[in-house]
Amino acid sequence: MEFIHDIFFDYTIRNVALGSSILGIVAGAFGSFAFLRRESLAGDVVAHSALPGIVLAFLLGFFITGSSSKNSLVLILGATITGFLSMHFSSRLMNISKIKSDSSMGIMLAVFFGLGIFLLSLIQRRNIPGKSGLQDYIFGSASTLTHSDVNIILIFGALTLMSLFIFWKEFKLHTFDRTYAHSLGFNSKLLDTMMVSSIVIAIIIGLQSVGVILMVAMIVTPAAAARQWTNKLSTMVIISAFIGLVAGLSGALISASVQKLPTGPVIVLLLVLIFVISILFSPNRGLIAELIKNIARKQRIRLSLVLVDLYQLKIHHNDDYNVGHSAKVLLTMHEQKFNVRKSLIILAELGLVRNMNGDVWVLTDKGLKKAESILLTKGELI
Amino acid sequence: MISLMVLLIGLLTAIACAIPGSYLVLRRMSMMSDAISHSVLPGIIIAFLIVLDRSSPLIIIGAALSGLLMVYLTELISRSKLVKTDASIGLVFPGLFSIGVILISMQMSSVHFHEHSVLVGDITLSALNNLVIDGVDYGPKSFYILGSVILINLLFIIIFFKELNLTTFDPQLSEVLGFKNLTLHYLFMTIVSITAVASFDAAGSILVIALFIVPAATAHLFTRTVINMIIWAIIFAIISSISGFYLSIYFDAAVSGGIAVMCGVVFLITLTLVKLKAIRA
Repeated sequence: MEFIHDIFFDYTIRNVALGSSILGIVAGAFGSFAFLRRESLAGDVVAHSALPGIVLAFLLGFFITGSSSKNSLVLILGATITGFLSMHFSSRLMNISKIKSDSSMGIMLAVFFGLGIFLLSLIQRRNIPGKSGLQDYIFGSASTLTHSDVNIILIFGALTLMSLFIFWKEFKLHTFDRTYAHSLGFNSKLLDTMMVSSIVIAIIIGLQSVGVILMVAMIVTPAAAARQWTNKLSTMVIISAFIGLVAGLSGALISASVQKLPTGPVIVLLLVLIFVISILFSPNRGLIAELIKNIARKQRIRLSLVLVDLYQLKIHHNDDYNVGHSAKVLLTMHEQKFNVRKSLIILAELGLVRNMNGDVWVLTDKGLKKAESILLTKGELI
Repeated sequence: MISLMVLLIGLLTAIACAIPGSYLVLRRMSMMSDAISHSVLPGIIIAFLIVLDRSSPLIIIGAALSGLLMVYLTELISRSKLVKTDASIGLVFPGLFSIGVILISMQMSSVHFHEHSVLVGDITLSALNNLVIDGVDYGPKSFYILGSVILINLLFIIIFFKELNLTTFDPQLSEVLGFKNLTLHYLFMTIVSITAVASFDAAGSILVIALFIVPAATAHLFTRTVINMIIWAIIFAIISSISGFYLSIYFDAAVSGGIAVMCGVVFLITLTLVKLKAIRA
C-alpha cells in the first residue's frame, strides 16, 4: 500500500514512473515503424551519436552562461542535432563511396560515440560544476529525472503521438509501399523526414532514463515482441506501446528502489523476457504453436498413409468386403518406421477402419471413400 | 615511460583489430562486430567471478564463448523467420550487455571493474600491470596478450586465406565446391571475439568497433585487393592510434576516445583525397 501511495505522492518516484511510462509508450509505438522499415540498427546509431551532442550542448551552455544549469531542453536539442547528422552522413556516405550500409552505420556510430566519450572524459577531468549527471546518459538513470525533465518528455511524446494520429494513413502507406504512396501524390520525402524525426525524438527522450547504449532495445524489442501477436499495424503499434509502458514503468521502479542498479539494463532484461514469452507462446506465429502444428501435421500424414496403404492392399488383392489385412503387412510398406497400430486405432476411432480379429484390419465404407478422395485430390489429408 | 607503454599498447590493439576488421567490412558484418564487442561483457564478468584474476586466460575463453553465444542466438532468431536479421542483432546484444552491466553494478563496483572502465577501457592501468615471473619484470602483460592475438589473427588469415576470400566474395560457389561456410563463419567469429576481449583494456567495449571498422573501411575506399586492404588498414590503424594518443594527452582526455576520433579524421581525409582524385581523373 505504501508503495502505491508513493507512486502518487513521492516526488522522485512519481517522476520516474511518469517519465518512463511515457518514453516506453512513445518508443514502443515508433519502434514498430523502425522495425517494419528494417531500420532497427539505425536506432542504435542515433542513440550512440546523441552522446557528443549532449556533451557539446552542456559545454556550450557552460561557456555562454558561465554556470552549468543542466537544462534538459538544451541537451535534447544537442542530442537531436548530432543524432540527425550521423544518420544523414551515413546515408550520404553510401551514395558517394563504395562503403556499404553496415559499414557506414558502424563508422558513424563509432566515431560519434568516440567523440562523445572523448569530450565526456575531457569534462570529467576538469573542474566544471554539474558535470556528474552527464555520466548517467551512458547507462541511464531514471531516478535523476526532475519534474521539468518529465514535462519535456511529456510535451515531445505528446507531439509525436499526435502526429502519429493525424498522419496515421500516410505513415502506414509510406511504411509498406513507398512507391505507391509516391504515385498517389503523397510527398514521400516529407513523410520520410517526418517519420525519421519522430523515431529520432522517440529515441532522444529516452536517453536520460535508458542510456545511449541500450536505447536500441527500447525501439526494437517491444516491436519485435508485438509483431508475434498480430498481423495488423494498428494492433501491433498498440501492443508495442503497451509493452514499452509495462517494461519502462516496472524497470524504472525496480531500479529506483534497489541501490546502484542502473535503469537501462533492468528495462532491457524485462523487455527481453517479454520478447522470449512472445516468440514462444504467441498463438499463431509462436514456436510452441508451430511445434504443435507440426506434430499434428505429421500425425495426419501418417493416418493418411496407413489408410491409403490399406486401400492399395484391398485393390491389389481384389478383396471382398470383409477380408482384412494384418498390421504387420502395413508395417513393411514404408522405410520410415512409425507406430502403425497406433494410427490404426485412431483411424478406427474416426470410423474409417474396423478391427476384425486380433491384428487384422479392414476399411469401412467411409474409409473407402476417404481413401479414394485422398488419392484423387492428392493433397487432401484426413 | 608509462606513456610510451600506453602508446605501444594502443598501437598493438589497433593492429590486432585492423586484421579481422578488413574481412568484417568485406563480409558486411560491421554491426555484428559492434554486437560482439558488447556481448563479450557478461562472459568476461562471469569468468572473472569464477577465477577472481583479471589477467587469467580463462577470461578470454569466457568472453569468446559469450561472443559466440550472441552470434548463435542471432542466427537462431533470424532463422526462425519471425524476426529479420538486423532486428535480431538489436534484440540479442542489449540483453547480454545488460546482464553484464547488472552483474558489475551488483557484485563488484568495489572490485577491479567499473561500468565506465568497461566502456572506455583503462589503458593506463593495463600499462602498469606487468608480467612478473620469479621476481623478474618482463613488461606489461598486455604486450604478450595483444602480441599473441596479432599472431593468431595473422596465422588465421594466412592459413584460411583462400577459404575466407571465397566465402566472402562468392558464398554459393564455395558451398558448391564443398567448403564448410558455416564452420568458417564461426571460426572467424571466434577470432573476432578473442580480438575484442584482448582489446578491451585499451579500447573498452564500445570503441573496439572503431578499431575494427574505420581503418578497414578507410582502406576499402581505394584498394582493390584483399592483401592491399589489410596492409592499408594496418597503416591507418597505426596512424590513428599514434595521433589519437597524442590528441588525448594534449587535451587530457580518454585515450580510446581520442583514437576513435582520429580514426574518423583519417577516414574523412582519405575520402576527400579519393573524391578529389576521382573528380580530376
